[in-house]
Amino acid sequence: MMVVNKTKVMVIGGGTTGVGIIRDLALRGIDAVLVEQQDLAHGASFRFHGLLHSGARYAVNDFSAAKECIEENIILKKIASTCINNSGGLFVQHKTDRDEYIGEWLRGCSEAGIEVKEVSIQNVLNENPAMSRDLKRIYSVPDGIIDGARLVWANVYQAMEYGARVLTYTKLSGIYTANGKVTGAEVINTLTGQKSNWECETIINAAGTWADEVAKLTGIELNVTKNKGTLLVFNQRLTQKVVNRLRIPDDGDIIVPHHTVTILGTTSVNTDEPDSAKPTSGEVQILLDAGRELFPEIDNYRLLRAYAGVRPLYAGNGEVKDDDGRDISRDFRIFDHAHNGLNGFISLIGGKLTTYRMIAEKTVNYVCKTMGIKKKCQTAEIPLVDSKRLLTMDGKVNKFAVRYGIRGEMIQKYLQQNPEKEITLCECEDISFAEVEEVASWKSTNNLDDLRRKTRIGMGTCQGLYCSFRSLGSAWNAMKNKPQHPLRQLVCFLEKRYKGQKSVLWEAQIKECELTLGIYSTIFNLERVEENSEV
Amino acid sequence: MNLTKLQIDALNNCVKCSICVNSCPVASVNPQFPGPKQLGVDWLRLAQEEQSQPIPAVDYCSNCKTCEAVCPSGVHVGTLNQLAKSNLPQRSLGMREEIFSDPSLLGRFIHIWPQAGNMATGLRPVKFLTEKTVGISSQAPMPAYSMKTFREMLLKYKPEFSEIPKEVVYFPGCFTQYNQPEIGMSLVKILAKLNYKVIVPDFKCCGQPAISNARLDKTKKFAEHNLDILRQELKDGRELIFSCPSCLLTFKEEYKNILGLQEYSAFTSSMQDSGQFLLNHREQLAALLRMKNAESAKYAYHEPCHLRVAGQGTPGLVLLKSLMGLDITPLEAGCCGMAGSYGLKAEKEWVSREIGNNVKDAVTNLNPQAVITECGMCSVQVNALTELPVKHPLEVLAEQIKA
Ligand code: SF4
Ligand code: SF4
Repeated sequence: MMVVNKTKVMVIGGGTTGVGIIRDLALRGIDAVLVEQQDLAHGASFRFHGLLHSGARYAVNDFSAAKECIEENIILKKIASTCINNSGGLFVQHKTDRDEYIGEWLRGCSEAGIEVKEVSIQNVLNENPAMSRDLKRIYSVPDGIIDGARLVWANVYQAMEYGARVLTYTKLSGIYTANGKVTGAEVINTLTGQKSNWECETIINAAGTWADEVAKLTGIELNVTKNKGTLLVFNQRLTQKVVNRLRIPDDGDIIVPHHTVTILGTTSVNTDEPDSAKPTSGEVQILLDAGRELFPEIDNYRLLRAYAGVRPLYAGNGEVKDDDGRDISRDFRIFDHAHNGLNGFISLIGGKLTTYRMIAEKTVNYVCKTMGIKKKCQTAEIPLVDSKRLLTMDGKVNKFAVRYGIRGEMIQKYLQQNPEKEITLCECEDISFAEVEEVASWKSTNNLDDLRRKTRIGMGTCQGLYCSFRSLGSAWNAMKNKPQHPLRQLVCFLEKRYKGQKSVLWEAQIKECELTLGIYSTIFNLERVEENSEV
Repeated sequence: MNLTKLQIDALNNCVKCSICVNSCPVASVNPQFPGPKQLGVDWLRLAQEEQSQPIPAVDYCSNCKTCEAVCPSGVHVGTLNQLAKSNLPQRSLGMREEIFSDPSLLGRFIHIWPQAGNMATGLRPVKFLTEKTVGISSQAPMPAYSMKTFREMLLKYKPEFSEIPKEVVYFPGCFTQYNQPEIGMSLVKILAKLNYKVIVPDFKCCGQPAISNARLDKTKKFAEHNLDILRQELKDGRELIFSCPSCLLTFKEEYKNILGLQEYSAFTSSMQDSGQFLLNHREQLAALLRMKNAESAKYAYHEPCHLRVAGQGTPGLVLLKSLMGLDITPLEAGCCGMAGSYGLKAEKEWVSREIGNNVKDAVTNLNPQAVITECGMCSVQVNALTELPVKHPLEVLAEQIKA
């Protein structure tokens, strides 16, 4: 007999939309479980540029999106301050950009309530000497920088504290229905192969790019356009503020200084294969060409990696304008499959990270209505990390609360018990032994790659060269009991790190790669080690 | 923080191989010292996001620049450390750094009455007091001051030239000027035999001590003064020579790399170590030497770190070994640990001594009569560690020149 678990609502998909919904449900006191087929935030939530939109980018083409963005921008800066760097953003007009666009854009911004100020080009150049001298006008906007992985985990940690359950590496394998109504679901743990059954009243399909596959389990056809965007990562900051090109949105006109790196994006092309989206060398060139116009010396900055994220876009009926997908509104849609004859099954398509909270609110409002629950949304008022936990005794911002949300206190505790673990394990991103060891011991950390998404190991210059084996070594006791053998974890980790570097492998980065290869293949003989131990 | 080209390139080129950390003499004796990679490159990268203060441990970097010499990616990692050091909150850098950052000041002061100065710096109670008040170690060896400065000696020296002499500009440096003018005089005398007139303009300190003591503003002042002099003096193909490797390194690299004074690039091809300058005249020089192998003494050679970084090879060693045929063996024991004023600081004296023990052991093994090295403060350290006489190659060479 399989154990049957019970809940009210099951949410499918652990991207920002899914975690936003589970948090919303939890804060309303509704029993819910989140099911994610891999680790949280492995999809578009992690593989995007990290820009917290002010809405200015949409001011001309998608006015309602612009308005939603600025509203949410203000809310998120309040409730998710730990995940946001309130850097501010710039919209810059290159000498080749049309003047007429500016009037329209300024009007759109002012109608949407986005605060725009023209700033002196000289001041901007003084602060960002790498920027082009060919700029005609610059405006500042309230853009910010947002850490997608931190945001996802901060939502989830809080939701769990309010009673939500979260199952990662768990795939939805079947949906049970009776009398035209959802009654439950079968899920399978992808690491252990174990199946379990859940009883529930409602399933919310927030699987993003995979939403159509989820719907297919009930025989319902869902039309999702999958749009691939490629981004480049430079090994250092080229600017201190977000830089947008002041023109009709196009390839390569967003530059975001994300933590220690700079992200340049994006391209936009439709794809059929969300699982195997890879950046092409053509896309890398397109981005560099565009980036060069704003940062003429861009080729003199080392590229760490390139990656592609796949955005789920709502394809609607005949609304698609052309092949590159940029003219489709990325606004989200709620589909109540009651229209397809199945009650209690809701699908979401579209949305953007900046508006994830609002999407969750609207969705849960709708679900509450269908379920007859009367509870108010609180996600805009309750911060992800309350100020009591965010600030230290002497009123400073607690670095661990910033990094690990409410779980920062667990790191703090571990450090108090093991003060010698304060020393740095990863020098590129300044992560201590304490952080790695504590996070590795969490149940939701299944392997090195999960550890990376939570701590940022492997994200810096060395791309995992040192931190991967140091992490395994220092957290060996925890890692050896994970579903995957530690050596398998190491191989997977290094392969993924390599994959991202492949399309930008030149100059220093190729040296870095060779060094990694030399150390792991020659000194550690990793390929053989793996063969000989039953991994 | 706006980065200079050197800093941007460091972030581009460092492959995190850690070779610099493994070669760092301070890290090898002090496990608390995070090493050049973390202090220089990694901190710089992180500081762009966090705008954070440098890691306080960077104060323990001796500025020996071994890290820079070994880096396979050409990262100026030692320079990054000095730049980081200068960003430390000022309060960690006190009066002692103020004194050490300009040796010419102390030199001029002591020179008023050198005997008293030398005696005072050697007196136990004085040593005790300076350790307690200013933080200068009572254990560390103090350089002795000369009764006459190099300039005073030079004024008295009237060489006779058989034909119209060529001219070469010489930068003596503070150690030659105040502590051991014999180095400079040896050079002047040898060059006179080669028919060179040595011009010693009114240079200021090169500014290397100010770099190590996080007083970049002083270095800048010195550099600008010295630059003015170069503009006047380095014309008509005149060259600028140095007897101190640290001064040479500062002129050749630091003014450009640390201060960003690109104008120095125009002069770097005219600068070289005096040993190299002499090697360029090796035939003439050979003719001036007394009988080869006249001496059967055994010598050890200690290569100063800054000579290594200056990328000049070891011309002094070549002069003594190939040209003079001396029995001289390089110690290859790495940094001596003194690093200018570093080893004089109370809290760092033990680090300096531990590092120096490598040199001491190598000397003990070799058992020479004297040690040869170009750097003044190296000679103070090696002398204290081994109790052997330590000489500059120029002094040894001058002794062998026919009258
Ligand atoms: S600075 Fe040079 S030696 Fe040091 S880690 Fe980087 S590349 Fe290696
Ligand atoms: S300059 Fe010398 S002491 Fe400083 S980090 Fe480099 S090798 Fe170490």
